[in-house]
Amino acid sequence: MFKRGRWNIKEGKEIPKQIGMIVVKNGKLIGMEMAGHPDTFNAVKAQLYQKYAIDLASTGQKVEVDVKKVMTDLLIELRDGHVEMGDSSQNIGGQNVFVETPELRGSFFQRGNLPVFVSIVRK
Amino acid sequence: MSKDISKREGKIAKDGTGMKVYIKPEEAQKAGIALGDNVSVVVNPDGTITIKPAAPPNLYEKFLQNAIDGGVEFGDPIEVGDSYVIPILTKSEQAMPRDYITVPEAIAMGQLRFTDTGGIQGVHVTNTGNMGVLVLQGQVFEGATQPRTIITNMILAPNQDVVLPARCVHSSHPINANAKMTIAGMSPRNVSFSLMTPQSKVDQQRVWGEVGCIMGTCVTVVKSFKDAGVVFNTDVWHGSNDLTHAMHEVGQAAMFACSNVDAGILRREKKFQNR
Repeated sequence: MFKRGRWNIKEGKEIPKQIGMIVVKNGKLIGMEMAGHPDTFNAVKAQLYQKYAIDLASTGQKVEVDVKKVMTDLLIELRDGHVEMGDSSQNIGGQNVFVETPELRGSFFQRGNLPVFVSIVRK
Repeated sequence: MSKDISKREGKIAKDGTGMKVYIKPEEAQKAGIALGDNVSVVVNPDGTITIKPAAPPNLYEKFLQNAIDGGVEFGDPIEVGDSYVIPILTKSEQAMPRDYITVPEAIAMGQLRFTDTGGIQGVHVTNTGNMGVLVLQGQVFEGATQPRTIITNMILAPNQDVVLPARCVHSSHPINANAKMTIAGMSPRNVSFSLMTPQSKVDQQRVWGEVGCIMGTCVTVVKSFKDAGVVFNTDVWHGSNDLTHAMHEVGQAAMFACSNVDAGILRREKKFQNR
């Protein structure tokens, strides 16, 4: 099931219809990045891999991953998060909505009700 | 409740449905309340009431539940070192056209100009194109000046000229006003974490602290690769605060190495060192 990727972040690896990614380390989600459009994700994916490069390169505990469980755990963690709107000065061309729990922070950038970019990271 | 009636500004509505409170427009503006906004009202023990913008609904809950319920697809997990990257895929066969592009695309098209404002908290950007440009929180800009990270997501309008709110990511580097800047990449996860809050709460000291932390991790990563016999043509030293060096050199080299080296080698090496 698991593939060994050749993840040169300069080149990336093109996956058709990809709009985001989840990064899991030690069995826990450490980051989720999702764009509202595949072209947007493709254009910034090298930067997003760079964001997690040191995490991926450092050693950890190898735990096989169950995507549904990872997502459900994330939902439970964020359910009671403190949600806050971005300051008016930072809402240029869209609106930022932030969430914070003791371990996670997220930014949800939307226009109208359409997500443009969502990022959730662990402390 | 307070007995000082002269301080009360609320009045019972004539139709008996409740109390109306009259607030001056300038006071409402200070509290971040606009006409038609939902607000929360709290009656305090001293008889005063606090009115503030209502907490927004937790849209993350709806978003994640939708993803779990099949709103998106997940690709096979890809093993990278000891971790996994799981692609998220859209279910739409054909994506709607975008009316904006990203910073890397806009730079490639020559429609963005970045310059240093001369102030630590801003990068001046001019979008000369006829497409909006999506700037992402955590993107780092560098040049012959102090590198900065952008602290908010935004879409610049066509032909817009604006100062992007930013924080410094190399504390010992001097600022050179009007220096040209370009994109260096994205802040590492822990630095990005410190930015993900309303702009007024992004603390420069904390950002510098997180830069220091990631530099420390870089030292460990570089050492573990070198100890394991992996050719690693870059270095980082304790006490460095140059984030762009970590991003460019260490991040890319580490990523390349961990995708081509069995992570077990690194773990075995670690065990050996611990004996």
